[in-house]
Amino acid sequence: MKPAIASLILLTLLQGCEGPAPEDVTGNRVKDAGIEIPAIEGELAVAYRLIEEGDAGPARIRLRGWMDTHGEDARAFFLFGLAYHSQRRYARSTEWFRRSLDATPVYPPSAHFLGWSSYYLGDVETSTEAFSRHLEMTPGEGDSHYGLGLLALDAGDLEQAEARFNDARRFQLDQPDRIDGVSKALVRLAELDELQGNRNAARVHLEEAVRIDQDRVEAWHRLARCCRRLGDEAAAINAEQQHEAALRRTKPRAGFPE
Amino acid sequence: MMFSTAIMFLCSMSTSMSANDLMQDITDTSGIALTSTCGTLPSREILEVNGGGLALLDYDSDGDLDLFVANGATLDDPEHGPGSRLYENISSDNRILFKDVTPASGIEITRWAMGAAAGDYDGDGHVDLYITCYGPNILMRNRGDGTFEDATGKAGVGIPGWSTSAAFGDLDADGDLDLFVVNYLEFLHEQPPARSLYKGHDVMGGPHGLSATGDVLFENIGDGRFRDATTSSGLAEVEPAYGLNLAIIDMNGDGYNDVLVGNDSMPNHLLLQEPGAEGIRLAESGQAHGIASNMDGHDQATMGIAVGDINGDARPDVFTTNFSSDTNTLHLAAPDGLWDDRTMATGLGLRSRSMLGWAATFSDLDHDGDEDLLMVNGHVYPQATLDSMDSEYLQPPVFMERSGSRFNSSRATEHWLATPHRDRNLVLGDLDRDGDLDLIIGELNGPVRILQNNIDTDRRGVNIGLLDEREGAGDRYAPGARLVISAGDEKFIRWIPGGACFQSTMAPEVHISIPPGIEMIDVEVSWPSGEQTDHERVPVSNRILLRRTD
Repeated sequence: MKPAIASLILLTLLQGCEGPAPEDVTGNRVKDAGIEIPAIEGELAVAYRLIEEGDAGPARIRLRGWMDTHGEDARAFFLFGLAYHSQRRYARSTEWFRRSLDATPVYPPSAHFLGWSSYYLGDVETSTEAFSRHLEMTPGEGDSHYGLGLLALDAGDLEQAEARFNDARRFQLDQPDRIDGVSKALVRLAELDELQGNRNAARVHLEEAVRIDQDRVEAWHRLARCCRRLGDEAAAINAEQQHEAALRRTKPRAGFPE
Repeated sequence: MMFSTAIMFLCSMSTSMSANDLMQDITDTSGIALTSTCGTLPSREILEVNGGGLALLDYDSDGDLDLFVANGATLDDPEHGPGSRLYENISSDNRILFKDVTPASGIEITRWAMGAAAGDYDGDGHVDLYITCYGPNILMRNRGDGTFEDATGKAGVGIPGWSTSAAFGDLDADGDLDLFVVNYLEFLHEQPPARSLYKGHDVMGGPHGLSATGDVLFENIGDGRFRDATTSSGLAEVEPAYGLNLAIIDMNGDGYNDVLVGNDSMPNHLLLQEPGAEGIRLAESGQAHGIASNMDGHDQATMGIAVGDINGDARPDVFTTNFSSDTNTLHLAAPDGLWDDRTMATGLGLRSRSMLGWAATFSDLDHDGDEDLLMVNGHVYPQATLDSMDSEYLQPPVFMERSGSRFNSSRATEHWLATPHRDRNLVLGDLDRDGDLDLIIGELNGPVRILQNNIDTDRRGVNIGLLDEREGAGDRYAPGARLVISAGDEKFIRWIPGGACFQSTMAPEVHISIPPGIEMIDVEVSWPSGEQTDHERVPVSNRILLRRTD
């Protein structure tokens, strides 16, 4: 599930242990809301890397050991949840993200991931609440705006969805490591364009989405359809070919269609 | 585990219905006391998860809807299960009642049956049955005296393998019923596939890793026989897929019936009949028309198909049910002939993620004038829990009520929607001829449930069937025909079901509810032969049969 993968990338930015920090994070402190994001370090960082490498089980074993000696810690609970989240076991992950959010000091990314886990479970209310809470703590987090945009779309509130997707784009635009987030938002803005019958605007958004993120598979797919319906067959064929190429690059999902 | 808790709470509720429940479970008094068989519980192999299909047909030509239940067998002896059943509808005085007439009917099918298609393939006025099986399929010809005979050999339709769904429909507009058979995959019960992993759990193997088998098309050549037109129609050129379901309907409005096939974990197929072609010529164009996958181009595990006109443009919109941790999908037909995935914008997406959906249907169960969406659910993996797989093994039916262009989950606290099951199939029809739609649900290795509609509104329920009585007519009930019905200021678009649901056959009728005070309706019928007939000022009754004569 692409958003989940994107969210995992997001983690590395939020907790500041890898890669450049987003502009609204200085070190481990969020400027806007003044919420400190405790660093993930030492044994917790090892567990995190295991999760990144796909070893969720061993990561949980390490985390269990760490919790046995360190007691309740929002970061450990978060990582425990993240391990399940990485396996797409969202009912489990929500439990741990909730525990993380109940602990102090709070670890804000737990709210973000609770938003996504709940989203994947179809729990609209919890997801909305979690993304909103995350934005209270981290107002500039574009991916939480994006999540709320999807929820607004599902609720039929197209105006709110558009505002959220624009926020998602705006807050991630100048962050090189958030190109995929911008691209995702553009794809959804194109969807809103189509819902409003503005196919030309949709094409512009989709072309921008694939320009900045050539691996945005669904954008190529949608662009091909859009171009074909606009009568630009050459562009449609090109988009189809690019779609196939993007699928090969990103290794299409195998197994169960979820 | 809030969801589990909720289910436990609901299960502990009294089984009696509330007076306000839309549907009342009357199984205990219906005369149907069948616990279906499809392998054993807990299911060990993929062959054991589909359950058996249902078919509503008037086998004795007495004007009511009888029921055929395709019943399976077990892995240790797939040829000798408890047998499929035929029930005669003997309802009276608003009491739904069936009588098991299987022995007298001559239907002795103990092979592992999967689905059932009903249609009068030989044009003799009596509805026949085609039963899909694990093992050669079976055609039972209705003799017209209450008995059936095995006509598989004579008709030439006894293909082996594992077929799931089938449907009769006139695909080449020549006035008789052709037969489309949907096949699933190569499976040998003696050599079951290796087990698989799902969300980290050891589960039964398949469909991934198993070879898909292509669908088969039989062209009716008269004289009670078919010829295999799979190659000549172009169907053989279509990449085989894990087929589960189909709908025969004029998808593109060119006057010819087409075929939409729902495939498991692979692109769905849209097979468009080539206008004016000699015989049946099908061109697969699901991807080009935007209906093969969801809007992101992701293949889905299509189990159920429901067809209806959601936005009143007289084009068929298509809803499909899918696997858990994915959404169900609504494709709306667009004016340019393509379909758009509008799942999210109509509210049908997120809340379906925890469900694994099977049969689904658009229907006006609650007589509010529009078609709501009803679907049955249940996971394939016996070990599924919300905790382990984000989805429970037992799941309740879901009723999504229309509100303008949106669908909202409603009535969820009503008993018939609150109790989780292993449901797989459903068919709708006016069983007691009181005008509203009653419901039959088939549960995997569970009872066949009969639910009687208790709606009480000012609007009147009307069921409309077609009957082509012309000399030599071979497509008498016209599956796939489109009806445009005008009742006062209201207009309804409906299609006589051709396939759809899941492994089942709906009643060969359409249903509407009309405003109070309407005594006459007008109906335009677009027949599968491409012709149109107008029926003006038709007196309203619970059931209308529009006859086509010379």
